[in-house]
Amino acid sequence: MAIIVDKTTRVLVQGITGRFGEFITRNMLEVGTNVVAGVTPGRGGQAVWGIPVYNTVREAIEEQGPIDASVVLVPGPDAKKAVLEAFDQGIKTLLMEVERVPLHDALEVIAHAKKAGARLIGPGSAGLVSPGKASLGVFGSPEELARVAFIPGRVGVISRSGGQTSTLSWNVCRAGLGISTAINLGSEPVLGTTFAELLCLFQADDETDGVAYFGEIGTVQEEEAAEVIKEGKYTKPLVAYVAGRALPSGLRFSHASAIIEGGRGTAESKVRALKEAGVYVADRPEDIGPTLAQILKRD
Amino acid sequence: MDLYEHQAKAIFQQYGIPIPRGLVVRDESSLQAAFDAIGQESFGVLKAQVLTGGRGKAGGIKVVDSLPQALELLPNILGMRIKEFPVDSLLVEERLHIKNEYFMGLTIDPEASLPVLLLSPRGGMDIEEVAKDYPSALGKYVIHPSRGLPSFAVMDLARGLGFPHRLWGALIDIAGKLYKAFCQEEATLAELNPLAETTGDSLIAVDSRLSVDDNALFRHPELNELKKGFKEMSLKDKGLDYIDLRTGEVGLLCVGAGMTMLTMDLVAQAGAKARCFLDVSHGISAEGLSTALELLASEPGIKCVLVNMFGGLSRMDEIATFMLQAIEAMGGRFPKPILIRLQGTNAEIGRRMMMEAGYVVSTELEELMDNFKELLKGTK
Repeated sequence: MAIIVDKTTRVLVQGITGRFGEFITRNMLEVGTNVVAGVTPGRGGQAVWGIPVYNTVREAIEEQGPIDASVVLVPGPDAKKAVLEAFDQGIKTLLMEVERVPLHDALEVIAHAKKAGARLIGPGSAGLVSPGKASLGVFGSPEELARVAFIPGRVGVISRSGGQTSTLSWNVCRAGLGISTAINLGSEPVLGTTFAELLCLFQADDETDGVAYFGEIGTVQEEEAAEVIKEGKYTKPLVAYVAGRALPSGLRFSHASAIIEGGRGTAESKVRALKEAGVYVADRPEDIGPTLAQILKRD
Repeated sequence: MDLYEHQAKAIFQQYGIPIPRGLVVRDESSLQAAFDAIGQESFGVLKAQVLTGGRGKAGGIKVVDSLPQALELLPNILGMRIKEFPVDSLLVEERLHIKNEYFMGLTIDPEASLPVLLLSPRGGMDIEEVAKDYPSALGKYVIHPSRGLPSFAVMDLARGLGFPHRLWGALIDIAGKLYKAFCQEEATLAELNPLAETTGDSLIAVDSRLSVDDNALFRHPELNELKKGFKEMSLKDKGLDYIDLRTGEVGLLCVGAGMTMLTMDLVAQAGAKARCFLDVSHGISAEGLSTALELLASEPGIKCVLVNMFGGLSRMDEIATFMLQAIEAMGGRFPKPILIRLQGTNAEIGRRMMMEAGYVVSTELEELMDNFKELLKGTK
């Protein structure tokens, strides 16, 4: 099976009503995702694209049976409550699509996920797709885009940027390869699932031969991943690009965050760490797909 | 949102953290008031208020003995720029007799996704070098919010770092207050540096920094008031993520942080420099785009503009309509060279609209950058 979701994964959408909820749900159904229920408090009894809507997560489970994964689209201060509700009801995989989540709320949901032994993707993740199987969030649809950017195949795609997830997948497909799973890590400074953890999942996935990565300056995602690779926990080919090389590093305001990052966080640090771990770091993102294709052909 | 030193201190004072007596000064008349408030004996230190580091080394801090001396120095400091940041206010504080300078800070540990307390007996200007060169002089404690910051943790840190026993009580007290401020104000950073020891074994926050979470301001009306003073924040309210880089000549208007960074990289590869980071992904509206275009048109440092739009959810014909409306309101013609790329949903319609209005439009990113290189050749 693919990492994280498959055809059999039973998916809930929290915040299913409204323009955004309907849009995301339709995308997921088009991919073939097994969406079994939606939740919007006060809208129980309605339906979205034929999917029954319930007032609470518990009610959805009582009526529809166990839920494996939930996509949380609930905006603003209620996002945290929706995530905690899903964890409380035993849901083990959760994608938090919402952006601009307050940092202290993000810390709380991440701590809660760890305690519950659940996987949290995001906050601020636009989604993930295992083409031909299932998706959580926006990717894999509409069909015109999927035909060129989300062709089923054996490459994992990871992107810090939501927009670049599709672009990188398209770049990989144009190089004659296909996608096992494409995933957007999320836009927030702290994340439930890191680049390093995803590499470990792709290592264990016998349907993935290599990974393409679009990184950015800030945080320590790339440096952590480099450590995981050096430890031998990820051994498949990886081709990466780190955006933001042109941003001056003197923008820093505080000492404390500089100390805690210890020089990590800059483009130079990330490129150096990844190269030292044996990762191929491309000078231009459009070189990622062709380079990975060459490496995979050689191997 | 990074707060000015005087704003941070006012907040820390509410939590009981000791800070020097002082007043904000913007002109000569308020300097007299500061002199009176502080008192002649301990007058005074003039500190330029800027949101960047390295202020002391740049000459933004001056010790003065008298009001006439302060009056003489005032225009120099008020007119200066520190790392391209103009100085328009000073904090005038009492002069302290400092025996030792320490460092205390709270931020987020990105690996643990938890708050972390940092403490060092070697505070002051070169704390980052200390952390790098003498890691043993910096103590860290990762805080589990369900347990809070226990006093034994601070004591263990202080003991391990060789702080004299007489200061342990004050360190525990201040760390507790700083953590409380960090949580209640939903800070991303709270820092006291130097946290100084003066005569009489007491500690006082001689300089301090506070950054609060932009995304949590809706829960903090007092902090929300402060943001009026920051251009970046009022733009954020319109959905625009903007950073003024203060050097460079190319204005950017892009969708998504990744796309914006990538465009900056490509501008640099072409031999030019971006002047700003401007991501409009939350501001695809008539108001958002007109604010963005007006900003790019009016900023004198920006000589030309690159618009790089790629999107699935946002419609490119809508974006073109908003942009043309905004340009119409600005007098019918964008006043600087502008190159536009539109790709994604309804991009063909959007491109035709912009082309018919007489603008250079591309489909692919490479095409945009080729046009940009041509433009650079023409201007050089």
